[in-house]
Amino acid sequence: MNKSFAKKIGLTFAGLGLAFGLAACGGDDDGDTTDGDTADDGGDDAAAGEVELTLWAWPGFGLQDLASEYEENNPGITINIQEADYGDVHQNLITALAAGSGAPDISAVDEGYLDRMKENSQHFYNLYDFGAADLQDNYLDWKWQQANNVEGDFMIGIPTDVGPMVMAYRMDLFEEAGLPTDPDEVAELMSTWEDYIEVGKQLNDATGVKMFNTISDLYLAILEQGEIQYFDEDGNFVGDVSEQNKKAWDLAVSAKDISMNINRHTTEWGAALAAGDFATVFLPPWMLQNIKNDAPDTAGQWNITFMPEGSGNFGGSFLTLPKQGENAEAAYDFITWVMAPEQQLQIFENSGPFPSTPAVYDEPSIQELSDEFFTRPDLGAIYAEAAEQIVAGIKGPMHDPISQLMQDALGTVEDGTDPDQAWESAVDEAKRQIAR
Amino acid sequence: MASDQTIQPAQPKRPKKRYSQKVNDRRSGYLFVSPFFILFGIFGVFPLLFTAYLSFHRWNILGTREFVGFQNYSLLFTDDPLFWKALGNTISIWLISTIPQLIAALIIAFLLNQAFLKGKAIFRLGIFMPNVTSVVAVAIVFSAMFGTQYGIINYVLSLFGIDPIHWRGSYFGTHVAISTMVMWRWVGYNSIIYLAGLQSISKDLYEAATIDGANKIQQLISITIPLLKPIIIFTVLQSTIGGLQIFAEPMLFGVGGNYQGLTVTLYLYEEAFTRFSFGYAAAIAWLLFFIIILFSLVNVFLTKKIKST
Repeated sequence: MNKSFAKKIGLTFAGLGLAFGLAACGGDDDGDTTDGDTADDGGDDAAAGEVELTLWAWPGFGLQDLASEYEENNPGITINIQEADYGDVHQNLITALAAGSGAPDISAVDEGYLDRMKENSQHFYNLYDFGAADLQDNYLDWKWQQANNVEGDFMIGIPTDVGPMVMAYRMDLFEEAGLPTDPDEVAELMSTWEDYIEVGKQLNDATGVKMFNTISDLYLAILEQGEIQYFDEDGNFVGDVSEQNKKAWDLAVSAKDISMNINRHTTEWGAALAAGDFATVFLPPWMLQNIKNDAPDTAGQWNITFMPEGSGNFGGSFLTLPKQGENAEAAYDFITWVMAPEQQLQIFENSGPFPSTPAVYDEPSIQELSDEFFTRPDLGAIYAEAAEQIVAGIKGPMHDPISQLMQDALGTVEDGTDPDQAWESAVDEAKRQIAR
Repeated sequence: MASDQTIQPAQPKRPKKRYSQKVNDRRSGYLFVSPFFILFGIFGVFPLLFTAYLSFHRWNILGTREFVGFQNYSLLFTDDPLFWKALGNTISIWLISTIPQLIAALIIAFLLNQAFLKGKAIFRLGIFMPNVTSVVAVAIVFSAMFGTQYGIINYVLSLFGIDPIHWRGSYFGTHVAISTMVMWRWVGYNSIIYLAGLQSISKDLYEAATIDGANKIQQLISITIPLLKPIIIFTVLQSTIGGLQIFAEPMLFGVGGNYQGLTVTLYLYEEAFTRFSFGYAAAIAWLLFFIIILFSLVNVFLTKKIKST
């Protein structure tokens, strides 16, 4: 899933909806008046037999086969999966919620938009009202907590996939630089980020090849390992003093010389991968395919190991029930079935995203997932282990825009701006944007 | 009127002649034009007024609206360097794309209008083609061409011994790259408009000039350009309106770390749809509205000057 790029294109088209969105917002006050009795309606409709559930998602969830299976086992229920680009799904959902009509029964929401939705939870059903508490043990604890409000009494969505980060590296380039190529030895060699940068410099000196694509990606990988990133538990901005943010920034700045200065998911990124111009990539499972697509000739030259200082999460979503949906109970039944451990495993086996249900991590199809492209015979096992290491960071609705500011600032550092000056202006701009 | 009818129920013919033919004509006239005004009211006037209303609020679209008075405007004027940077970028990109574009369009139109040219239709079609190409496709292809390390433009430059230009990392690079996309799409459109203007100029003038011994360049400067003045003014106005609304190209190309590619409309859009500060975005929209009025007034002033010379 080439998210950021798809997002850009999606947003371009979504922009055309500006006038319509604003026009539609005038009546948002009357949208909520009927909400009180919709839950009951859901039950009645289900009893009556014919229920059509619409589900909004972007490509890559791998739900279609399971939806058909569910339809067979539950006569009278039709699941209508409507796919759109990543950006469009969220934009459309927000517009529909604000307009008071048009939202689906079920909508996928990515973690990047989740806090925005949680902040406005009046638009969603609380899954605890349907008995979701019983399911808690099925899911990774950090992932479950992400879907909860601070008080822990509102649950907005059922977890879908997770994106545990690991490190892919080019064995041939490591060998050329006289470095170890065995995954365990590599992980040991780079147990801290300082070590990683040190190794990168050695590799660069020996081969002329850079260590990674851009310092803002290194920054993100480090940032995601901390709990407090830009906001504290109470939602106060602490980005200018947060340990993890400062650490990630300083390390990234110090690694400028071993970076290609190319952004992920650009044409240039693909070209550099294919040419073998940088030696490591931090990536979640769903990004493996991007490397295969962009650099098919590098098959067998890659191997995969842990990132320094633990894993981190990149992407992953939730299935939510907007209050405008009329068949909430039927929808709840479907999403809890389709995201139950067994079904998540099935999705993964059909080359879908990585499950958020640790109970299936010991299954052979995960433990023995191997990939000749990435050499490792136990690719799934390392992802499973990484997934359990993840510490979920506290995000907040403004996390993504601020993250973008910091990444942009690092981009200017890479182009020659003074790092202290870049930090200052990024933090100042972050404060301004939060104040609006 | 209604009370008249109740007082005089004995005159059944009166209501039929209530309106004269003239009034009826007027009524149907309004009826015929009403669809435009209804649609304009819904999609034009209402959003305009609602935006004005929003600009005095803090609102994230899903939550409640909080009245903040002139705070959005005062922040915009006193504490938002990014907005003014975006305005500067917009004007710079507009100038870099418009001036060479109109000159090139004029020259192309002049060439296309030459009697010796065969297969005119093919050339005209070819020059207009970029305008009907999807802007997204254009931006993607140009973004690949303007790649710093693997882009074809830097490769060609390297053949001439020129160092690679960091297109996404410098003001110059980003502005030129975005302007090039705008130019590529619109030069053909303007050429066709100029061509239409050229064809309305009588051939006799050129023949007379040729007999008097004027060469092609003298003809261009002394006959074509003066007679094309109204058309040129039209294209300048069009380009001004379009230039202040450049959006898709910088969005897809990337604005760069220094926000050197950020234009005002893109800034407005990001404020609303990625940061969900709808109130603030509405304030930007109104400020942009006043800026465009200002530009239009300058245009009108200049146009009058040119016309009177």
